[in-house]
Amino acid sequence: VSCDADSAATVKQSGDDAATGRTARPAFGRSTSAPGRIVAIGGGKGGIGKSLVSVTLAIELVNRGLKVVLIDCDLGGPNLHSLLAMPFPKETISDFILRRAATLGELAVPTPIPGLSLISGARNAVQVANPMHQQKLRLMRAVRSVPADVILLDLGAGSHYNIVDFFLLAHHGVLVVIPEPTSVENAYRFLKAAFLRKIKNADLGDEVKAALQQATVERDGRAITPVELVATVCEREPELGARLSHEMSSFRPLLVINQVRQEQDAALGDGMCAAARRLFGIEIELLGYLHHYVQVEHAFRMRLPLLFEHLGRELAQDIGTVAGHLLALPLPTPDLA
Amino acid sequence: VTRYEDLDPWALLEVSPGASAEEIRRAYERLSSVLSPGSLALYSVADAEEQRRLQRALYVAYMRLLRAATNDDQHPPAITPRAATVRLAQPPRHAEPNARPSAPTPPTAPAPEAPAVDADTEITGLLLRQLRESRRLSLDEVATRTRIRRAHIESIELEDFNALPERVFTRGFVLAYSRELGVDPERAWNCIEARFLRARPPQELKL
Repeated sequence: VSCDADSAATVKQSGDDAATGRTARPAFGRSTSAPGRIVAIGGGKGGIGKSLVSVTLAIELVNRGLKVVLIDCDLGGPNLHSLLAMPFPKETISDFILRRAATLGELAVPTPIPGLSLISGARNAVQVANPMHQQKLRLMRAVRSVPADVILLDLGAGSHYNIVDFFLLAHHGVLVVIPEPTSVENAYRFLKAAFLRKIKNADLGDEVKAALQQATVERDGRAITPVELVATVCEREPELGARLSHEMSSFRPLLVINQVRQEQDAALGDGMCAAARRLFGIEIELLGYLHHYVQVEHAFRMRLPLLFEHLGRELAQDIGTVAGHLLALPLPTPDLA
Repeated sequence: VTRYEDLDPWALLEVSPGASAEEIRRAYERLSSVLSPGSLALYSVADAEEQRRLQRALYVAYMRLLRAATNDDQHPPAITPRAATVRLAQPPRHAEPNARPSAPTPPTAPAPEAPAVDADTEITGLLLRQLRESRRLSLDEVATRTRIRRAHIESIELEDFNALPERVFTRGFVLAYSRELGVDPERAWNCIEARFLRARPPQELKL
């Protein structure tokens, strides 16, 4: 199966995201040499709309003239094909991990939406759902070289390394949250896990690791917050602390609040940004809201494909705002770590 | 990378140093509302004590900036980041030693618009403060008129329930204060009591 993102046809970008009011728009690389923008959709909890956001955002970006590849990174339980009313693809990430395919790009299958292709998650094999470290690194490198304007990673639930690593790999990591305590708690936990992982990945040397270990141990009983951790290291090793601090400032997760039903639900987005900044020292940015629509629930229940014609015009508008904000973000400089 | 205790008041409220009194007020209102004690955004990341400290830190920063903006537009006083922390431990109960009860605070700030209150409006400490400020009443004035200690009125406005006396006394304060502002006293207490009880569950339930 060939990936149609390989085609050299130039794609005109639609200008309608100018309506979002953002001006600075980085140019998208059209040549296959320019890497695409990698966006990861996570959130730490199941059933909060990660796949809904992934699929609708992908469709919205396609509608804006971009070539999009959607990768189902829920290796243990892939289901994006179902949400697009497709049969389970014959070739999946399994084939890449088991070295039956050389690149991820060749596993991309076209979807009913022209311009959108899907790379499906692993099927069945336990060793594929829980890839070993080296396999994962190979997979992560391969994600970076998938030819597309936007590579959308739909992450599974949870905060373990296999998920967090893909979140950190992306240029933009998006957290989906619904206005429920468990979702908020898991999102904060995910943030902390991702931050700690980022520090660990950054090659800061054994001293920092020792200092971090020390700092984590010393706060018995209470979870240490990222900002306290950095502060502790700063006290002991100012220079290393400064590097940590720099590492931290390049960590800018994004937020989408799903299932907004009332005004105070919408305040959650601002509140989480304000709280993360003041309590964790982490800057997160709100991309937008998806309101709660009966139509969406209906589509899931009736197993309709997640196309805007089934989800409704309002949801399309909500996701349009999210997409506009996302595309207006500058591409972060590549992380050398 | 700084935690809120160490942020200067401008950074804490996310306003620029040249911000007007109105901008400062809006920033404070937005933040104190989205980070109000008990809000979902603070779930699992701040315990009750931390939530109160955060709310108080916002309030202290707000008062400092408002004073700076209204008294001395050209030369905002140099506020060291530490100052806010010190104030946190010792809330500015007597921040204005020469407070003139007849002078509205702040002297030159435009009176903010009174929030609309109807039969469905949830009465909160924040709402009471907005009503008080819309009437250009200072905390000291209200304290004199209601004979409630200024600190208690401030705590009601912040919904800092652990700083208030027992339920029966707090109820009296809330009734008197809302009456002073022309708010239905019983309804005000009905709204506020729920959160009071959440912050301080009755003793017998604890056993």
